[in-house]
Amino acid sequence: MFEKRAQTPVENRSYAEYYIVFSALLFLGTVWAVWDEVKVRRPWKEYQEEYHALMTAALDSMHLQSLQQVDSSRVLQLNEIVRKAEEGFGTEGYQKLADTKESLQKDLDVETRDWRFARSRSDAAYFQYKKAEEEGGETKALQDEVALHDADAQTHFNRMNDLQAKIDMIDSSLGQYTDAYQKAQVELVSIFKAANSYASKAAKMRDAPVEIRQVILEDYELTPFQEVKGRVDRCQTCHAGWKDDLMQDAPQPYTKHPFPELLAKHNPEKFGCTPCHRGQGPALTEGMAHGPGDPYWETPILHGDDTYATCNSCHFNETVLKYAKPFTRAKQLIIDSGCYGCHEIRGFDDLPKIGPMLNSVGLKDQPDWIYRWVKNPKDYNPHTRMPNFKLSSEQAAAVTAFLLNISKSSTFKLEHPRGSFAGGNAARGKKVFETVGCQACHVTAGFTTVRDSRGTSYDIAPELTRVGSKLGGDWIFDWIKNPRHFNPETRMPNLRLTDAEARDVVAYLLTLKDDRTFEKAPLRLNDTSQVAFGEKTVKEFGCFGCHNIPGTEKEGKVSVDLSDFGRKKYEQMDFGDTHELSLADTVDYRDNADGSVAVKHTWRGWVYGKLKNPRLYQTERIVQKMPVFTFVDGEIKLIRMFLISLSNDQPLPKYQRVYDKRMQDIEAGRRLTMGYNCIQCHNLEDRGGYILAKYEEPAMGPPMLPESQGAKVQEPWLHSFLEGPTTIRPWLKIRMPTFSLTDDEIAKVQRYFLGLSNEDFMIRDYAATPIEAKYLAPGKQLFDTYQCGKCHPSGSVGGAVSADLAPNLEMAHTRLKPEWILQWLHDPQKLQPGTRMPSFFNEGQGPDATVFGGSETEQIKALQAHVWTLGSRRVVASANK
Amino acid sequence: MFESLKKTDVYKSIFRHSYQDTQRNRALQIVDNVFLHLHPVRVPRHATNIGYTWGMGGITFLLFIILTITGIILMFYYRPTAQYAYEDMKYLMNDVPFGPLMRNMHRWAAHAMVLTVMLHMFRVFLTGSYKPPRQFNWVVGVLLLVLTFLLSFSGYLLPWDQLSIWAVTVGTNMARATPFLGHEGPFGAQLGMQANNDVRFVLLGGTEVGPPTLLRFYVGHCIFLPVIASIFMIVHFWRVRKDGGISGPETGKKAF
Amino acid sequence: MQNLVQIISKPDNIPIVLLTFSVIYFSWLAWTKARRNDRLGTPVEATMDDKVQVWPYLVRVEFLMSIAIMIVMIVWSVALNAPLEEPANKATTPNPSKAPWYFLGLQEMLVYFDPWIAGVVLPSLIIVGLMAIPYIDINEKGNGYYTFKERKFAISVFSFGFLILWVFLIFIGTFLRGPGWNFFWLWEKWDPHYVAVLTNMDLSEFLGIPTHLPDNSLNPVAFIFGAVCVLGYYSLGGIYWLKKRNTDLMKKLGFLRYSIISFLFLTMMGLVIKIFLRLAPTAIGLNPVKYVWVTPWFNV
Repeated sequence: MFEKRAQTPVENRSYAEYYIVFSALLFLGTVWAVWDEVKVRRPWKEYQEEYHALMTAALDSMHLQSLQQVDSSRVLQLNEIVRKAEEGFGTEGYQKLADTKESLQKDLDVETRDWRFARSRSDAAYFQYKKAEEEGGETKALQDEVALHDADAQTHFNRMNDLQAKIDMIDSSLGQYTDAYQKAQVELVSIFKAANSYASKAAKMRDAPVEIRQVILEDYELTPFQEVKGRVDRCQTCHAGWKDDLMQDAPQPYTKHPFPELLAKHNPEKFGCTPCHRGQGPALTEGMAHGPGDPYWETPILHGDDTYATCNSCHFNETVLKYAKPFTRAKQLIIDSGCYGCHEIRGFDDLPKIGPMLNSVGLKDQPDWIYRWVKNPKDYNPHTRMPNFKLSSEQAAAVTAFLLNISKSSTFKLEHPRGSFAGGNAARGKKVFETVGCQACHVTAGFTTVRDSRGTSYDIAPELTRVGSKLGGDWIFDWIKNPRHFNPETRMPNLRLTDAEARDVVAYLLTLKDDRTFEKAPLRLNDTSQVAFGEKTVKEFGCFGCHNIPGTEKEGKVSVDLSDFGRKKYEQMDFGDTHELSLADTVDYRDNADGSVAVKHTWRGWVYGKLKNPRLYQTERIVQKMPVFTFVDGEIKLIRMFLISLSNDQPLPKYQRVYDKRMQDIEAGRRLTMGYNCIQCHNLEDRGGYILAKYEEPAMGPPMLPESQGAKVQEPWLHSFLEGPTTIRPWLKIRMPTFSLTDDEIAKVQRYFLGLSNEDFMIRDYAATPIEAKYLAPGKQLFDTYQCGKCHPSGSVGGAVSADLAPNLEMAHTRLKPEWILQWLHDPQKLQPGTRMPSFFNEGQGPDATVFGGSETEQIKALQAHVWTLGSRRVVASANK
Repeated sequence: MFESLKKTDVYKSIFRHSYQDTQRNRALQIVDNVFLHLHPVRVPRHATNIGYTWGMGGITFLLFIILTITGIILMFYYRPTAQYAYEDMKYLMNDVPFGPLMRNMHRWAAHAMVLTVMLHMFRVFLTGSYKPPRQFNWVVGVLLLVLTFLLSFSGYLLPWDQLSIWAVTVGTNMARATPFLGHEGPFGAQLGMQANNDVRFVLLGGTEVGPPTLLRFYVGHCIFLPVIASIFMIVHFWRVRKDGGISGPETGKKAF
Repeated sequence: MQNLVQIISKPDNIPIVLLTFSVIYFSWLAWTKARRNDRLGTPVEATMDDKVQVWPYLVRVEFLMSIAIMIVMIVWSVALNAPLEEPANKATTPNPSKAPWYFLGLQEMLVYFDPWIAGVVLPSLIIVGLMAIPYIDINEKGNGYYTFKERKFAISVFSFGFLILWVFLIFIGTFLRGPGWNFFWLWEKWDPHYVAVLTNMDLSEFLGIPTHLPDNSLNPVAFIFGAVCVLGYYSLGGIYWLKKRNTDLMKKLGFLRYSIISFLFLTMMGLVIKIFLRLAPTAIGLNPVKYVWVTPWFNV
């Protein structure tokens, strides 16, 4: 056909069909382009319309609901009043008055206009007059003209006032017809106020414009070329209902944000959404905005707990975030595991090494045991924090030789003569061990409560189940009498055991024998080549990241800098001999039945595998040194969440949390309390208190330390308490140990508590707190009526020990802050949720109306005055003067 | 009505001739039209045969027009600074009415133009159309080919994404190996060429692809190269006419 | 296979797919037309040299083509989004990082030559060579119609250059060059960890002449050997001239034209020889050739 067509002379060919077909196609193409532009690429229009419909429906139903709640009989009454008043409007008297008012009003309008005109003429004339005066021309006539216009204006103004007065008079006569009407109208409006407001909101929503809703973050971040750039967030275009209570149960994308308390501090209207959630802010289709539609967007949306990763962009200095529990847990996990010993991670500077110093290790442990431990610590104690470096036998033997060689220069000497430990009673020792608080940190066979309640795969202190075969009695005795003696840096506190108690505990611990067999190696401890090889191994594997080892003080961190790890591409990662797991799989990591491992070839998959088994990607050629931890699934996910956040791309400082003096104080305190394991016993900022799980009755365990602690206790008292704890609650078996804190560390704790309760450090004389004499007698009376002494015993506690017991108030004047007592009595639950202290006052009234007429403030002051005098005679004397 | 409109002075001032299908009017249609008078009034019969010309020259010109129009529209939404360039691309792709269409069409038409220019050259060679008297027009054509590559290459950088910056980095890295003028090229070091004074530095406005490069490429892409290309295109078209219209076998008759 | 689909469906690679098919089609078209003309003796075009009116007979075809192109452009633009990747960042290098597709032939040359040849000398020679064509091709036949018989040498050389050294190398660069610019077959997965053998040797080393002396200075013997190889290769053109200088064709060409033709032709074939030297030895168990001629200033 085409051949034939080609034969036809050009003049005889027709192109009509081609034109028709091509034109039709061009038309269809154009229509498609428009459709694509208006519909396909702008799905948010439909979302927003749907949101408006949902909101309108919700508001309409609220409208109906509030209409039903209206008092209908009252409405009928009011309507009747209105109707009657309207009848009055038809009477002749009313009409006449109204007509007069109307004509007066007209006159007033005319006068007002004329007055305004006259003023204007006067202004113009005044201008001419001034001008002439300036130019030195004739001014007299102009001055007269101004006066003329002013007089005219005054005339009109007077008439206006007259007319207004007349109108006011008529208004007052009209009142007999209109007053009731107006009153009824006002009441009707107030009855329907709620309903009408819903109706008008619904109407507004019905007519709401469909538009892009965006937040612009000015100067938010830096481009890769270090230029300041803003960020545009349009998430709210589709997620329009994030702050509407009515959208609480609406489907996505209209749902209300589940954490309003977080939004209170990070207002999305100013702060946008992507700083926390990531995703592509400027994009307006789901795939592009959330991630999968745009594989090139570097920060796709975060799901589930991973969202907490972005907290680290601004809060990298902090270890505790009240509303981001997973973040807090992840940070604690990383600190506990000592990741920062080998890796450079922002926000983990100046933390102490997590392992014990190894200067004198040879004086504590047997060489065979050291070898066994170095070879595989998990073999001796599966829950130890020390990871398994998978050293070869030669390496482990060499490291042992090196460590023992170091100990040769140790200056450690036993404080007590050898054999002083002997003679203890193991049964008594067990009891002491179980009651004074050893179990807050140490696990033994049969007692794993702390481990369980921490919920981590590792213990914070060594498990003592088999310690009897590891350590000698002399060393243990020396250690528990004063741990700082052997290791000045240790976190183990002094529990102030008497010699007899200590001997008992040693006797008990020595019964805990290890009956397992283990591998031994021929050790050549005095071979210098062995020692040198050991030192090389120690430096190669970075043991000094966690332990202080003499001779390694100048070594840097052995592993990679993680500061931009979150943005590493999976193409840059080596997956070793693992199999590839399909991207469609539900998990990132899978152990196959044949012992091989499959991971997803993604960043998340790689990290999961690496944390699960740090040697996973090792091959014959690629040697890896990261030691093997035993993280469980939840821990891996937490650490991975944290790693997601590690990026050089961070918001500029003005978007970051201000890290001021108070924050620094608080943060220093958090690290200190974590370092000394205070949180093992005390619940601080919702962290820790793990030992409490041991007690059926929490009040019998270590006391809680609420955030108001800084406002509660006097600074001198806290200082002396931390220096040498005194007994506050004698009925408790557990003891606050002596941590031998330095003055500097005590100050840190002080400032931490003060910072948490938003108080400043002040030097003040608590003894000079003024007490008014008029409060003393009523105070005593109230103290008795309210039976305070029932729970706050004075003197020694006899009889049944009860969880209701509270501290002896004779200590109050040296321990508590006077202002705190006032607040405490006002509302104990507010300062310490869950306390057993009852609240006596309700709406400013106390139950005993005979004292100060039941006034709460006065009664509280009286109680405070009484409590203050309990332990102090001097105060009473001065008040009585 | 239409007839009376035709009699007005305004109509007559615009349309110079009537529309009856006569030889004369057909000729006037070409001669009186500023766009169409690029053509001769009559052409050899084989010139209407797509099988001979492949239509590639005309398609290239059409694509150039498409590129000019879409390019001018894109210029409204684009700022050639490292701070804004990428953001503006996102804006264009997400928000600007018909922005994606304009940008897509600009990019695809650019690719298509490189393709059609190459095919045009292939056809011209195969029909021997560069032979006398059209030698010089072939030279102009080669220059236009180079200009097309440069236009496309300079435009490649403007989205300021990884694709563009690395493609341009790879492309311009070769410039440092230019003999004599590049600091890594033969005899470059002997002539005192360094990273900060060689030909690549001039091209990029820096020692590596960065914000100054973006501005340079933008100006080149939007003003310098299109103007040069337009001038050469005018010469090219004019020479097509002056060299005797479309090429064809010598049959003894002179075309004009 | 999945990999192939991935590469082809990359929007920026559509032009290369188009290029591949259109070049094959048009080569076939030109070839059939040339064959027909050669068979007929008088070209078909010559039988169609009477004049027709441009309006409407040419203009209507042009207009129709314009509509067709507009349809194609609209559909293409609506259906496929132009790529927009991560924001430009000098700190992370994508692997592979490729030049725009039309320069991939030159980027491929970087495998065989140093950048000063592949990136500068070669493109310049291509441009100059193309511009020189009308002046060095003195064959008067074949002007204005498809033919092969009448201009065998010209068409063969040009087609080889365009189809093989330009289009085919673009094809290779797009579809067969993966991370690290390593070679992958269409059905192979682009493995970013792929490790290639690096055992290239200089040509002189095959003959036991080390390129560098033990003190790491250049071995003058190797230098001279390389110079002889390269200059000897170019002198082939002179030898041919000496042999054929008395033929009519050579006389008509003249020495200058001949030298240009021979230089350009030998350079083009030089590319092929260098590619061969790099690829062929591995087939018989030898190491690939790195440089033919090493000098203190440049390497060939």
